[in-house]
Order: sequence, then structure tokens, then C-alpha cells
Amino acid sequence: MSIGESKYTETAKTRRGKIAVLLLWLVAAIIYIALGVWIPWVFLLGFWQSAIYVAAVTALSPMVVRRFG
Amino acid sequence: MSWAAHDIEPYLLRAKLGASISVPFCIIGSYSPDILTKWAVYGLDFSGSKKLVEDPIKLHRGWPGVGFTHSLLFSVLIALVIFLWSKNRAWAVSFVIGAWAHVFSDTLDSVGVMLFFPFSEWHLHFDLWQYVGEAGRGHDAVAYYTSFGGLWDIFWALWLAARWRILTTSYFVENIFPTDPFWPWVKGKIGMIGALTVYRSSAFFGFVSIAAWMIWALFVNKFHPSFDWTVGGPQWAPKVGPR
Repeated sequence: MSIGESKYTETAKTRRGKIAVLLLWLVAAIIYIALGVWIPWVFLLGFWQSAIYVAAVTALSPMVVRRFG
Repeated sequence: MSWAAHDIEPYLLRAKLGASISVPFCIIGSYSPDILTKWAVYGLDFSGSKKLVEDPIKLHRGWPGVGFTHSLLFSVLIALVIFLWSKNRAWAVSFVIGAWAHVFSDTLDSVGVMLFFPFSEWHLHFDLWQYVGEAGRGHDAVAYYTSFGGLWDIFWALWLAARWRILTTSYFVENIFPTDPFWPWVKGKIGMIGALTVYRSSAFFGFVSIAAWMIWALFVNKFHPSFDWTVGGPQWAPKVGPR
């Protein structure tokens, strides 16, 4: 069973692209940590609260791959 | 209790044990012991002043109460239901492994768990850190993240950071998706972005919440913002045991 490569599963082929995607997730994590420290009772009570945020970053990732390679 | 280790353990168990582990069922298993009781333990607000039950410890870990969800047998029974419904052995086994990882993590605090319920109400507890759930979520966060509990979570967060590749799209596509029929089903329902989100959410949340709670406990709260790495710490917390 394979899903092949689609526009949603594009992965970075170059070193530049891989670093860009890694940086995207690092920045996303830092922003979420800051939100959590700021209002913990809104952002840190359950993983479902971060799901929309994770979906947005996941959707952004293929765009970063296309931009940086 | 353990705060965010439960969010991360399933991924590292999958990385260690391979395709015999279904990440989503291991996550569900990992959450299952607390799924009905967390809100009742902490009360309706962050400070813990709006109590819902008189004895949160007994409700959470004891009997009469919902402490049976932290027994070895409970998850086996639920896994049996999962197996009868799905005929998928990996899903059932993953549920048990996730739940047992949670149960053994919870033996490290001062209340522990009724491991052999219903045959015995004896609690296995190693007293490495105090159980402070009855004081409310805010105080519990300070107590947990400034004691050995915080180190326990950091251990899992660092391990996940070292194995960050297991969260990449290519790892998911090559190693996770083809080995578990759950993922094609999810993809059919909510698409590939949705499947990737379901896969990553618990790990992402576990990692960021460990960092955020640690920073909050040490630098934002005004209540004992310092580490207490002594056995049974933090020492300011009331000593509580099994009920």
C-alpha cells in the first residue's frame, strides 16, 4: 500500500529545502510555546487544542518545499 | 501523575518496536486511563478553587472511584473489545501498550496505581514525586515541573527531539501509512493534510507543552519558582498517598 507523492506529501529534495522545513517547524513550536506560556489554560490543556495549528503548519510545509526546493 | 510524557511515549514505542505498533491506538491507549477523570480531578478552573468532587485522589486512582482505569486488566478488556470489533491484533496490542506505558508512568508519583485491580486494591507507587492533582491544575503544574516529574517529561521530550525524523512527511509516507490500515481510512475521510495532522498532533503538543509548562512554572508563576530535585519532592507540597 503506497500513497506515492502528491502535492501534500512533497518532501524537500535539497539541503536548503530540508533546512527551511525544519526551521518552519521550529518557529511554529516556538510560537506555540510562547502562546502556551502566555495563556496556558487556553493552549496547554489538551492536544486537540493544538490540532488546528498543526494542520495549518502541515499545510504550509509543501509550500515551503516548493519555494526552497 | 505524569503531564506530557503520555503524549510522546507512543511515537517512541513505535520507533522502537516497529510496525507491530499502531500509533493512533497507542495514543488512545495512552490517554485512556485519565480520559474520564482529568476535569473532575482538577475542578472547573485553573486555580482548582471550583472543585467538582470531594476526594479527587480517590476518584482518580482509588476505589470506589475510577482508579480501575489505571489497572493492567482494564486496558486488556478494552483491547479485547477493539479486537472483536476490528479483528486487528496490532490495534488491540497497541492500545494495551499505550495504556500500560501511562500506568507505569503513574507509578512514579506518591499515589500510584491499583495495578492488580480487581484482585487487589494495593497501590504500586515509587514516590519519586508528589501527587498534587487535588490542588488544581496551576499548582500541579508548578509542583510537577519543578520536581523529578519535570525531568521525566524532559527525558521524553529530548528523546523525541533526537528522533525528530519520525515526524517528517517522508517517514510517515514510507513507514507509517503503508503499515496501518487506520491511515488510508483517515485519509479517505479528511485527506492527507488531515492524516498528517492526526499523526503529528500529540507529539507536537507533548513537546511544546513540556517546554511551555516548564517556562511558566519557573518564570511566570509567583509560587515556588525553583527546582526541587529531591525524592518525593517538591517538599512544599502536602504529602499524600493512596486512598
